[in-house]
Amino acid sequence: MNAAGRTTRATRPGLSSRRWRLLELLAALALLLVSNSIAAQVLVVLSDGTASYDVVADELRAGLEPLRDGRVRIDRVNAGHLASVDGPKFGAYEVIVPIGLSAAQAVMTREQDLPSPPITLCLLIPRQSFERLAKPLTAEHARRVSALFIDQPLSRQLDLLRIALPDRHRVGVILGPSSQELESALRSEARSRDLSLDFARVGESSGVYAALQSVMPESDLLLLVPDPVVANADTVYGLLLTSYRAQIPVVGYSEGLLNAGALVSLFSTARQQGRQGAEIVGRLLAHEALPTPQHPRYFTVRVNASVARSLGLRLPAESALNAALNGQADALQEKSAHDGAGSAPRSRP
Amino acid sequence: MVRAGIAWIACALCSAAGTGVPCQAQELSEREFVAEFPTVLSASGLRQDASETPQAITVIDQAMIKASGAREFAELFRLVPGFTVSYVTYVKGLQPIVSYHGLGREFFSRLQVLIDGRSINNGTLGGVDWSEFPFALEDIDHIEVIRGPSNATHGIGAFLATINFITKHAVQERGAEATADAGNEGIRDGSARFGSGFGQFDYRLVAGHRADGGFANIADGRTRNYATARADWQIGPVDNLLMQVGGTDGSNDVSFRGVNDPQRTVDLSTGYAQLKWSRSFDADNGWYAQLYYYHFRLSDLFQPQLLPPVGVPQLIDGGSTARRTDLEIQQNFSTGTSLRWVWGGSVREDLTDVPLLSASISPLYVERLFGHVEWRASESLLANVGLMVEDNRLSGTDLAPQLALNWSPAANQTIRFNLSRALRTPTVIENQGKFAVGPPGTPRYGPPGDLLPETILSREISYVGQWPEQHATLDVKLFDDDVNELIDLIGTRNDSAAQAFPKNAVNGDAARERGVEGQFVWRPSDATMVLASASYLNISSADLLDNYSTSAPRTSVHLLLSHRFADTWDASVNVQQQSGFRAAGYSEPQRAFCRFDARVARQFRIFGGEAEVALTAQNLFDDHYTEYRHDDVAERLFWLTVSFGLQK
Repeated sequence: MNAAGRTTRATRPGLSSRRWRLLELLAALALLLVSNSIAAQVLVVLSDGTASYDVVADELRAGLEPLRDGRVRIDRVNAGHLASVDGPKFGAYEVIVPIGLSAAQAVMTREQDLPSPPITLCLLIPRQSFERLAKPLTAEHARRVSALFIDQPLSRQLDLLRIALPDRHRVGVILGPSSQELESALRSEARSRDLSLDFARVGESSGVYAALQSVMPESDLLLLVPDPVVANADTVYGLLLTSYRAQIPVVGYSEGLLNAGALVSLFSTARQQGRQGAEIVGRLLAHEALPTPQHPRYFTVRVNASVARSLGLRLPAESALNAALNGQADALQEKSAHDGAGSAPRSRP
Repeated sequence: MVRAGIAWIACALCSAAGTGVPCQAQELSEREFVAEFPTVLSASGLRQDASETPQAITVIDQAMIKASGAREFAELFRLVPGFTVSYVTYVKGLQPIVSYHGLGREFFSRLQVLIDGRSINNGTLGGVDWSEFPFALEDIDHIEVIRGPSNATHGIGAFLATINFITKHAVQERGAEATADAGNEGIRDGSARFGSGFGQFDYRLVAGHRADGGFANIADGRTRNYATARADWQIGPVDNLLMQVGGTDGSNDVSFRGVNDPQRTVDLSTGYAQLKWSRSFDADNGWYAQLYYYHFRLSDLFQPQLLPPVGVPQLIDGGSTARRTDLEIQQNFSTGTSLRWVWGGSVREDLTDVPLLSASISPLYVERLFGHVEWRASESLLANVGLMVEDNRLSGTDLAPQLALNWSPAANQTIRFNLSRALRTPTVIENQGKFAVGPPGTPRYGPPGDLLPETILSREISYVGQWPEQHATLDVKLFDDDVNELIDLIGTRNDSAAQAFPKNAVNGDAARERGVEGQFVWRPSDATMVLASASYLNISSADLLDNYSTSAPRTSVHLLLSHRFADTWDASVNVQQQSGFRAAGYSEPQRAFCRFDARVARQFRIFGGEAEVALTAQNLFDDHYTEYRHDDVAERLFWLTVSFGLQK
């Protein structure tokens, strides 16, 4: 405790004057007691002990540790134990990074009680979940909260369809309660790409089979969109096997779906989330303004080669797909930045 | 409190089932993006693209099955180049005979036939009980026909060709459906199926009835009832359990063939159970263990028409039973990105009982080890090397190696070279049966033989051209095969050449088969399908014991056209022409014929479900060509099909 306190006091000159005033308002006494030499404190809140949260946190740590001459202190806590971080200490963090929806919920709840909560960057959270979470926040609070979404922008997903399977234009989409709001956005994105979409809507998982049967005759491609009701452990077998046997390739949004049998998947890995999260937090620590919530800049396209071969589909190489989606220029830039240890640097985890 | 308890138990069960997601949360979260799922499509379950298979392959899917106008399973192989479909009424009623590149006779045709990986070749004589399928054509997902020997990949008996029926996975059938046929020559069929599931457990039940009167003017009617139950259970992210049980029960009318073979009705029944446990770690790594049991019973207790001069009339037991138990394990894995390995082994026990041919028949045990490796040497070169080692008590240990190279000099243009050797183990009856198989009145008996397995050395050069934009595939196969140690049942020919052999069954003949065959599949639009095939086959043999050199049509041509009109009408026409031939065994020459089959169907929505009414006609112009024997005269058949399905 004392060590942490010392760090914070030494940090004072490095902090913005406004930030210091807020901290003083919050816990003047606590701050007077502390004295240390660490330049910044970041609290990482993990939703639970699942490995992917750890991967994000580790990547975040690796990205932040060299900053401020190595004087960044990163505390890590599980959402379930967030209550054990006492009030003044919580409020004193420069940046809070919740990883996952549960962590974000816990942090928001905690921050609601603070007049001026710390800057918060949510990682590994779906856009929709974040928007729902941010809605009830006060304007002041909302201004201090941002996110790096786990999901890809629809435009990127549809670009992938055009690049990977240029001769397939009829796209089947099954929408569930969480994803139904995507319909109009998908329609408008599809229009400019000469794709025709056929939608089926389901209210619960038991309806997925019938929905699949209704879109298959009209589709030469099935686009999965994240929705717990549509693709889950109960439905994935039927979705992938039935469409495969009808020779309809499936485009997924996660590595799990790819490994299960989707033809191609577009996703950001936990490491990519951590890496971009570290870049954003790094800029925050350099006193840049909090960016607006954004879709991931780093992503991976992977092709299930066995399924592609079996369906008789010759897809462009993964590196070419990644590069095409990144834009060739970006890809080259990335390559030089990361000593080109792969033909498509952004596809690296 | 109680509800909370139930919710907790439900959650615990969910987790115990290893879903990867502790409980089906209804709210979107990052779990959707990071969840692991079971490997649904693993290498062992994936269909190989035609340009990458080590042998020529024809795939028959459900759309082709419907369009073909086929009513029974055997007829489907008219679509496949090199195949011949005939009927024989000489042995125990009407039996379909499917053969590839001839050499077949009424008992068997040197094919391996699998349903979901279990061999249904009859343990007694090795033939296929084509009338004993415990499900309907509608329950097939697709059929893979491997045109060439493939012991290393398809197991014991994959000699001239292999037919692999893949039935629909339980998860593919949700809801209820019923179908009924009625037509001339006593055609009366009906089937019903129901599929459902809960969580990761899916099941499907099928039951049905088939009946027809066979050929006109002969007592060869058939009646079968059948049922199958299938369950697919995904236990967690890695394990999958397939459970199937089913069976058939029915009778065949047998026409008068002589005083010792009077007109009567024989009863046939089959039953099977299959358990397959698969573990898929990822697309290229996994294994399975499969155990199945198949039981075939022919009950044929009859009284000859001429009574013996003294004593009470003696009943003859012309029945047989065959029981097969087979255990197989297989592992597939990859090393690096370019090598994929498969290896495994199986043990099989065949227990047979044929009182008329032998008082006691020892069981046949066959053990085999197999393995093959696929090496993607470069983008344009794929090599496949395989080997099967088979050991059985009757013919010892033998090897079946295979080597294939698939070379793609340009995108979508592939040339395949295949060199393979395969075996056909003699059946227990061939080895131990005391035959009386001569023409009626002149039976010949002899001691059982020490038979060698039949062998084939197959040389194949194929071209596979694919035009993905046009949805067209052309496959042309040139072949030169040497078939040796052909097992003949003496007595087929009662001449001096045959007299030279002192035994019942001998490795008597050899044959060389050369020719070319091809198929063209074109789907110019979603509504239209064109399937064309042609073959030319030249068999040369000394024909010491049987007429092998004429045992297949020299030429055959087939064309299937199908089109969908206005999204509700389907029409298809199926034309087949083949030259004359004479099958081995107790056959008579079959003249050349050309027949037209046609089907018209209309779908509509009614009572909240999907209905279809279809009219099918076979041999539309009523060409009276003969099948195996002169009294098996083909006629025009037509029937009306009504089906109704409710999706769940």
